Amino acid sequence: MDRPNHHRFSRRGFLRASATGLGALAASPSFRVWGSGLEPYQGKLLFTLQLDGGADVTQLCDPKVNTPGERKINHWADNADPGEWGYIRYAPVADNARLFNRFGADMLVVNGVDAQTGSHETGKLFNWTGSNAEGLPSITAMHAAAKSPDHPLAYSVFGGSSRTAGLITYNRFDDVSRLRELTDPTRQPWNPQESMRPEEELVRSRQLVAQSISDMFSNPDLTPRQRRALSKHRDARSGQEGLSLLAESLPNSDSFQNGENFNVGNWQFFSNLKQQMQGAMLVMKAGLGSAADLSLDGFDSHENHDDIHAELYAHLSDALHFFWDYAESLGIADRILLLVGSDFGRTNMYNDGNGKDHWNIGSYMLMEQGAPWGGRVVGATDELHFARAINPTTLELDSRGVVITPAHVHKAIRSYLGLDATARLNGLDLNSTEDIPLFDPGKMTYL
Amino acid sequence: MQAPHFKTDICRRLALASVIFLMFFAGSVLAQHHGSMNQFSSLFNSVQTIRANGDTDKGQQDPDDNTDDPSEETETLYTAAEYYAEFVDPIVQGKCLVCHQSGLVADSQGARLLFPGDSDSNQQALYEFVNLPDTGADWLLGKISNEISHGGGRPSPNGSTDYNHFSEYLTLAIGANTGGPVKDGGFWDGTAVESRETTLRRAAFLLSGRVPSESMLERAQTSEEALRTEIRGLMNGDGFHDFIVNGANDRLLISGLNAGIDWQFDFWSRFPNMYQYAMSLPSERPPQYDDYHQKPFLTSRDAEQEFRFAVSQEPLELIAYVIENGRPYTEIVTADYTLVNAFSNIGYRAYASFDKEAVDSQGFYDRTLLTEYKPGQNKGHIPHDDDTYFDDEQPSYFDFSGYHDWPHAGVLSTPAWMGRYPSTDTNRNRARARWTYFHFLGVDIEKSAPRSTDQAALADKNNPTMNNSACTVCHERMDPVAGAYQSFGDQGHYLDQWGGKDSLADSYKRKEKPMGELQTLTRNSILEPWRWQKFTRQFDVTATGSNHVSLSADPEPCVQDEERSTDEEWVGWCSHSALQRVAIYRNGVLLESISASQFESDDRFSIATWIDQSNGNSGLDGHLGHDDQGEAMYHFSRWIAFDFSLVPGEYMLELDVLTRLDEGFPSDSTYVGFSWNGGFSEEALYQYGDTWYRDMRTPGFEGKDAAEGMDSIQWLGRRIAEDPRFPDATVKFWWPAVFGDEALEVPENPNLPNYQAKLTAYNEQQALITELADRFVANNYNAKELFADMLMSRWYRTSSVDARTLNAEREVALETVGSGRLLTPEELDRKTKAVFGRAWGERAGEQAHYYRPTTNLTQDWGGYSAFYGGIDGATVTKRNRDLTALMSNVVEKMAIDLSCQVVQEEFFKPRQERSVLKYVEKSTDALTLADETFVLDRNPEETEWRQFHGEYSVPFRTDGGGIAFTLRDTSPEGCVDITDENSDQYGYQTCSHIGIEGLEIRQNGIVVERITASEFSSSEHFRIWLDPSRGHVMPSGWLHRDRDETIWFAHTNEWFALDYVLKPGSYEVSFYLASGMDPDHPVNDVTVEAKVMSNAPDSNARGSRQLARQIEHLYETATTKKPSEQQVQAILGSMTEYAAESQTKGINSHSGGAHCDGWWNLDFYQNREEFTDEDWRRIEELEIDSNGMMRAWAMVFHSIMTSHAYMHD
Repeated sequence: MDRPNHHRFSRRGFLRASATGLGALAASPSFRVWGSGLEPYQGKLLFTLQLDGGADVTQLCDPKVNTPGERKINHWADNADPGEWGYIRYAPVADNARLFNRFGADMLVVNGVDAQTGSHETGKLFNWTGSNAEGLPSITAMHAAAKSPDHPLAYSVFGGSSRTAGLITYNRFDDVSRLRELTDPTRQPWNPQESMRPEEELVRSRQLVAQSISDMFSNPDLTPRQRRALSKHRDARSGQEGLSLLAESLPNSDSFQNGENFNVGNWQFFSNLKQQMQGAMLVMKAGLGSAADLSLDGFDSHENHDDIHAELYAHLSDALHFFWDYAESLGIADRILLLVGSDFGRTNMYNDGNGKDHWNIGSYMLMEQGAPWGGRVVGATDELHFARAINPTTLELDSRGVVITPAHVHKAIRSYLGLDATARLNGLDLNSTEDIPLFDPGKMTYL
Repeated sequence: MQAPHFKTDICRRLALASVIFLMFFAGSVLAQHHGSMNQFSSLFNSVQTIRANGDTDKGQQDPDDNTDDPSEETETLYTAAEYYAEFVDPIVQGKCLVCHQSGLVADSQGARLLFPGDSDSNQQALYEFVNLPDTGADWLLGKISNEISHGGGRPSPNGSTDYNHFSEYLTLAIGANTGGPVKDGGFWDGTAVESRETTLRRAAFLLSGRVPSESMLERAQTSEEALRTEIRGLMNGDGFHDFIVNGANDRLLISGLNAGIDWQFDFWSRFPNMYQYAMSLPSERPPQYDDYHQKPFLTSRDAEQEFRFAVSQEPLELIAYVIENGRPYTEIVTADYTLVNAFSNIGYRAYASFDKEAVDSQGFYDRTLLTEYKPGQNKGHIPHDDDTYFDDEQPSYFDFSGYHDWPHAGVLSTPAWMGRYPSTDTNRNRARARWTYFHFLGVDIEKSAPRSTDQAALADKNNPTMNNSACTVCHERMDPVAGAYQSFGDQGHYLDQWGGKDSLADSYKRKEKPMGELQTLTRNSILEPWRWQKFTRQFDVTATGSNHVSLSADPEPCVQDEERSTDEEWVGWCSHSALQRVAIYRNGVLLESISASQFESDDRFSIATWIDQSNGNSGLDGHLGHDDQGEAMYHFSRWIAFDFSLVPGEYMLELDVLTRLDEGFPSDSTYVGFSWNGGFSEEALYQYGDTWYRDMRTPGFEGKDAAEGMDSIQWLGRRIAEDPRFPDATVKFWWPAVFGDEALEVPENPNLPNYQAKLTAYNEQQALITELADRFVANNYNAKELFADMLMSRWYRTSSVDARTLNAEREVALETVGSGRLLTPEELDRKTKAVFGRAWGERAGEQAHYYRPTTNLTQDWGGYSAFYGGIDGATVTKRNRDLTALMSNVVEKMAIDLSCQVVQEEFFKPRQERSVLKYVEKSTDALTLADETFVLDRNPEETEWRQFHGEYSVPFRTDGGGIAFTLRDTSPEGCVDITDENSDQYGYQTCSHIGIEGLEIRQNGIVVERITASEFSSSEHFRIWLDPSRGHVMPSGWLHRDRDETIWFAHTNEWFALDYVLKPGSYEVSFYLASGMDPDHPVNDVTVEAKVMSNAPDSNARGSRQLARQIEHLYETATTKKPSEQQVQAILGSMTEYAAESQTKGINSHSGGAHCDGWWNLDFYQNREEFTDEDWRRIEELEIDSNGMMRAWAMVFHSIMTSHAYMHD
C-alpha cells in the first residue's frame, strides 16, 4: 500500500531533516527486524531501462524517413514507411511492429527530448536524474527513498548508472541465478530446513555484533564517515532477515533466464536483460523494494549502425514482452511504471563507417499496464530529427514554447509518482523547470 | 596542517590596508606605463608586498597537533609577481591554456585573453587584460566562475581555492576589492587523528595485506617520522604488488579484457616467434597424462591463451614495476620498455631471463611462475604485407618481411591499454585520448564542454570537430592526442594496415563511395553460377547539371564456410558483380549508351582506386573482363560511377549487370546496388605515406605538434610526464586506492543542497592534492614516497570529530575524510588472510593451475566479488562502497564458512605456527577452576569387566557460585571392533567405560557435600547427557549394582556432572572412580578427564587471563583498535556461556548444524598434501570439543568477521 506520509517517519528521512543527525543516531540502539512493523512493500514499482550508449530513436519510436536533398537518415526508409499504432508512429524495423501493437495502448512516447550534450556520462546523468549537473539522485533512487526507505532491497541496480545523492543505498546484483545462496546464507543450500551453524551460535554472534554497533554509536565523536558507514552497516544487517522473503520466492536456478549472445559482424554482444528483469521483479514480488535500474548495452553504434540497432531492438522487444508477461505471472504488472530511455540519440545521417554518431535528441517510452495516459505522444521532432518546441500547457506544437529536456520529464514523473514532497524535503526540487502535463490523457502533441 | 585559505580577518585587513596604500602609488605608475613590460616588471618587483598566510604554508603539520591557533601561523610576504608565479600560474597552465592560447578554442571564438605560455608572459597578459577599459577584476572573476557566461564552462566556482587565488592576486596586482577569499570556518576544527599504532595497522592491511609485527608497532610509536619510515617499509612483497595492481586496475579497468570485452588483438599471426613456439606444442593433452592433475598441460592453444594473459597484464605490471623499484613514476608514460613474463618473453622476443622454467620437460607448466614479470621490449611484432605468408598446413614457419621496432611509451603503447579502449574508423583514437587526459592529466574532457549543445552544431556536415565551436571545445584538445596514437590500429597493433606503413582506416584511405539512395536488388537463383540482369529505374531530373549514377557491390560479398574455416584460415565463397553497359533513356528514346569496353576512355566514367602500399602507385580498383559472358567491367567489391549532365525531365536508367557466384555459394541471394544522384562522399584525402588523417588535427599536444625523431606516442608520453598537471593527476589516480573514495569533483550547481559544504571539502582536498603533488615532484616522482605522504595526511588519519564542532554542513564536508570506509572485496580478502591465516575459499593443492591463489572474493567466475561491490572492469566499473543487506549476506556466508575452519586449522597447528590463537589451547576456558586427567589401569587380577576403582582428588578455589564437577571419558580407544582375521564376517565390539561410586567436597578437611551413585538418579545435583537419538530420550549411562557396590557408568566416551553451589574459598573434591572393560578389550586403561568448573567466569579460572589476552589480541589485530576491558569481558562472557550451552545441548563438531568444511575436507589444512600419523591424531583430537570452546571460538570469529570494525578500515 502506498503511504504518502510514510517518508516522514522513516529514519533516513528524519536524519536528513535533522540538523546534525547525531542525536537521533546515538539514541537509536534498537534494531528493526522483519515482521516487527515493516510490512512487505505493496505500492507503486518503478523500473528504468537504460539503452546504453545512445539509442537511435528514429529506428524506434520517432521514425524518420529520408528527405530529398538531405543526407540519408535511415536506410529502412528506402523501402518502407513508418508503422502506426494510434498516434504512435514507429520505425518498421526489427520487431517494432509487434512491440508497439501490443503495448501501444499502455505506452506514452516522449519525443524530441534534448539531452543538451554529446557526452555519454552527462547524457546518462541528465536522462536519469533530470539534471545535467551532479548532485541529484536518479528517479529510481528518489522513488525508493520515498516509498520503501527501510526495505532491505529498496533500490536494486542491475545495470546502468545509479546515483543516490545520499538518499538511499543501492544494491547491485550480478548473476541473479545465484541469489538463492545469498538471500539466506545461514541455511544449508541443499537442505534449507537446516541451519549451516547452530542457531545458538548465530544468535550469540549477532548479539555481539549488535552490542559493538551500539557501543560505537554511543561514541559522540565519530566522524561523519564513520557514522554513515556504521548506519549503513546497521541497516544492512537489519535487512538481512528480510532477504529470506526473497529466498522463498526464488525459482530454481535453472528457471532463470540465460544470457544471450549476439554477433553483429565482427562484434559480439551479450545481454542478460531478461535475467535482470526477472531478478528485479522477484525482489519486488517479495516486497523488499520499490525501484530497480535495468540496462541493455551496445547502442553506441559508430559503425555498422543498422545491423547493431536491428539486433538490439529485436532483443529489446523480446525482453519487453518477457518483462510484462513475467510481471503478470507474478501478479505485480498493475503496480509497475517502466521508463525506457538512453544517453541521447544518434545523428540524422550515417558516417563513413555506416554508423551514426552522437546526437542530443532522444526519446523516452513510459509503460504502465492499463495506463489512462497511454497511446499518446508528447513532444516532436522535425523531418531531420531536430527537436520542436511545444506549448507547455497544451502540449501542442508551438514555436514559442519549450523544447523538452529530461528535466521536464522528470518533473512530471516525480509528480505522477508522488515524489514532490521527498524532493522538497531534501532540497532536490526542479523549480526552474516548467511543468508539463505529461500524464494528462486529454493532451498530446499532434503533428 | 594549515587550511588553504586566508585565516583571519586581521590578515585580510592588513592586506587591504597595504593595497590601499600602494594603490595610491601604483595608480599613477599604471597610468603612465601601461603596457610596458619593463615597467610592468619593475612595478611587481618593487611595490606591493603583502602579508599572506594559511594556504601558502606548505609545511606538513604534525597530525597530532589539532590546534588552530592563528598565532602559530607562519606568514609569508608576497609580491604580486611572486603570488602569481606560485599560485595563479599553475591554474592558468592547468586550466586556462587549454583554450586561451593562440589558435585554440578561445582564440577561435574571439576571446581577448590569450596566454603566451610561460609564467612571466602569462602574468603580463593577465595584467594587461584586467586593465582594459571594459574588463576589470570582477569581470574576470565572473568569467572564471561562469557567473558571466564563459564558453569553457565554470572552471573555478566562487569560493573555490582557485577562485580565491585569482581574487587575491587581483587584489595584489591592481588593488581590486574583490571581496576576498571565502573563509570556510576551519575545515579541521575539532578533528583528531588516530594513534600511530592504529595508522600503521591500517596501512599494513592496505599496502601489504599483513599484520605489523610488535617491533614495527613499537618503533612507529616513537615519532611521526618513525611511523612514516615503518609505512615505507610496508611497501614490498606480494601484498604491495596486489595493492598496486588492484589500485591501477580500478582506474584503467584493464581486467575488463578478461571479463567479456571483445579484444580482437591478434596473438597468433602477428607474433611469429609465439606462433612457432605454439605450433611446436601438442594440440591436445596426451592421454597418458589423463590421471595427472597437479599441473596444467601446455597445448598450442594454451600457449596462445597464456600469451594473451601476459599481454593483458602489461600495463598493470609496468606500473607495479616502476613503483616497486622506486623508479620515477613518469616512466609509466615514458618507459622505453614493457614488462614480460615467460610467455610474452617468447612472443615479444624480449630475451629476458627468468629464474625458473615455467614449463617442465614433460610439457606441464606452473601458472604461479607466470606472475613473474621482467622488463623487456617488444621485438616480436610483424606487419602484414605482401611478404606475409601464413600457412597453417606448414607449422614449421610462415614468411614475413621483418619485425617491427615497437615504440614503447610506458602504459600508452601497451596493447592492453589500447585494447581496453579500442578505436574505430570514425573514433580515430579519441577514446584513447579522452582517457589519456583523464588518467594522466586529471582532465575530464567530456565535462569540460559547455553543458548545452546546439542541435545545429551536431548536424554540421563541414567537419564539425575541426570547425564547429560546439565540437572544437573538446576536440581541439582531444584530437591531437588521438593523433599521437596514430601508429596504432583499432585493437592496438602497431602499423596495423596492410603494408605496415600506417594504421589509417581503410574507409579513409579508400574513402570515396557512392552515397544517396542506395537500392538493393536481390538475386534469387542459386542454380546459376552467373547471371545477367538488367536493372532499370525511372528518375526525375529537376535541374540542369551533373547527375551521378553509380553501381556498387554487395557490402558483404563473402560467406564463410564455418565448417572448413579455422582460426588461422578463412574458407568461404564470394559473389562478384560487373557492369556491361549503362544506358539513359528519355521518353523511350535512348540518349546515352556506354558499354564496358568504352568505359575507360569515357571521361564520365569513374571507378574506385587503390594504392599499392609498397610503392604508392595507384590504379583502378577493377578490370575489364572478357569471358564467356561477354565483356564487363569488374569492380573489386567497390563501385563504378558515371556522371551525366542532363536537363530537367523524366529519364529511365538501364544497367546491364553480371553477377557471378563462386561455386558452392550457399546463399540464395546476393546484392548489388545502384544509386542516383547520391554523389560521392568527399574525395579521398589520403596520400601515400600519410600516417594520420588529413581531416583531423595534427598529432600533438596542447597546441604543439609532435616532434620528428621518435614515434608520436613516445613524444606524447614525454610531454605528459613534464606537464604540470601530471603530478596532480597522479595523486588523483591513486586517491581511491588510498582513501577509499573518488577524488571529489567540484560541485556545479549552487542551488543543490550542501553546495557550500561540498565546495569547502573540494577546496581542502585540492589543497592537499597540490601539496602531495609538490612533494611527489620533489621526491623525484617516487610513488612510494607519495603513498607514504598520503597515508600520513590528515585526510587518512582523522579518526574522530568533536561532536560539538559538527553541524549539518560539516557533516557533508567531512563525509569522505578519515577512517571508516568499507573494505573492497580484495581488501577484505587480504585482511582475512592476514588476520585469520586463510582467506575465504582458499584452496590448497594444485596451485599450479592458478596465477595467484584464488578465493571466493577474488576468483573471476563464480565468486562473490560482484555481489560485494567489486568491479570486473567491463560491465561493472565503479565500486559500490555502501554496505547493503545483500553485501552483508556475502560476509555472513564468508563468516559461516570460515569461522569454524579457522578454529580447526588454528588448533591443528602448533601454537607457534598459528595466526590467531596464540595464547590459548582448545582446552582453555574461563570456567575451569581445576582439571586433571586420570588414567585408570586395568587390574591384571580381574577377569571380569569391572576392573578397577579408587579415589582421585582435585583441589580448587572459587569466587563462589555454581560449580560443576564434570567427568568425561576421553579414552582414545573406547570401543574396538574385534574381527576374526580368517573370516569376512563382522565380529563384535568391545568397549571400555568409566564409572563413579561417589563424590566428596571438603573445605579445610571438613566434608561440605557428599553423594553416592545410588543417590544420583533422584538428586538435583546429578546431570548427564540425555541422548535423544535413540528414538526416546535416554541417559547416556546406567546405574550398576554389583558385589555390594553401586556405580554409575557412563557410555563410552560420554560424561556426567554434579552441580553444587559453593561459597568463596578453597576446596578439595574427591572422585571415587571405577573403570570397566568388556571382555577382550585390547587396551589396558581408560582415561578420565575431571573438571571443576564455575558456571560463570571466575577469577580463579586459570584460562580467564589467557582468554582475555587472546580476545584483546584478536580484536586489536582484526579491527586495528584496542578493545576496552568492558568489551573484552563481554566477549569472554558470551564465549563462556556459549561453551557451556554447547556442552549442555551436546553441540559438537558434527551435530546441531555445525557442519564445517574443515571437518571433512582436508583441503583446508594448507600445504599438507601428505599427513603423518601425528597429523591424524591431531585431527581426531579436534573432533572432541569437551569444553565447548571450539564452538565458542567459532562464534567469536563469526562475530568479528561480520562486525563493522572488521569490515571497515
